[in-house]
Amino acid sequence: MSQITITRDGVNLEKAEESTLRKRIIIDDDDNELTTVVEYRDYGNDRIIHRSVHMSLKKLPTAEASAAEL
Amino acid sequence: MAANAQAMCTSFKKDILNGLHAFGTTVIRAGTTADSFYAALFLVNSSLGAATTAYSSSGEVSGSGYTAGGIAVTNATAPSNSSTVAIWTPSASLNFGTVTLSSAFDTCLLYNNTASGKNSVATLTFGSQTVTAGNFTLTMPANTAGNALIQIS
Repeated sequence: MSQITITRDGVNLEKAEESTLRKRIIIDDDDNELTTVVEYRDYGNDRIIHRSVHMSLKKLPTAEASAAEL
Repeated sequence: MAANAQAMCTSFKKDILNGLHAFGTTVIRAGTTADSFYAALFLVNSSLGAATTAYSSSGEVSGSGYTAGGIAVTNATAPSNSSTVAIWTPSASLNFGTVTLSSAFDTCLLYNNTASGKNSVATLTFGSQTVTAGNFTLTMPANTAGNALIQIS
C-alpha cells in the first residue's frame, strides 16, 4: 500500500492510494539523457494528477584549458 | 631520463575551481569557505547557454512548491584532479521535490549564490519536461574524469 501525492486542481496537494490510480512509466534513453517518468491518472480520466521525472544526463559541459605553444 | 614538457599544470586547473588565481580584477572574499551553489530551472523558450553570465529570474519556471532561485546544490566534495583533469560534481542529486511545473522546461542553470552577481557556472539542457505534484530529479554523474559534472581538461 503506497500513498501517492497528487493534485486535481494543479495547486492543492492530496494523497491517494496507489492501487486506486492508473500508473504509467515512460523510459526514454537517448544520446543526451536517460529519463524515467512516472505518471498517475484516475481511472476513466486522462488528466495527469501526478508526474515525476528522474533524469541522468550523459553530455556534460567541459572546459578545456591549454597552454600556448611558444 | 628526465625531460621537460610543456603543459597546463594539473594543479592549476583545480586551483581555478578553488578560486586561487585572479589574472584580472577580482572580488574581496568574505572568508575561506566554499561558495554556495544553486540550481534553477528555465522554460523551453528561454535563451540560456554559453553566453549566460548570471542567474536571472527571467524565464525561470514557476509553480507550486518551486521557489525562485531554485535549490541549493549539495557540495560536500571539494574539487580534485582525476588524471590531468580538474573535476567537481555535486555530492547529491538535484531534487526539486513535490512541485507542479505546468509550463515545459528544459534547462537547469548552475550558479554561484554566494557571489553578489549570482555568477553562472553551467547550463544543463535536457528534453522538455513538466512535473505534476511530483519530483524532478537530476542524478549526478560519477565524479571522475570523463564523467564529472564540471571538468577542466
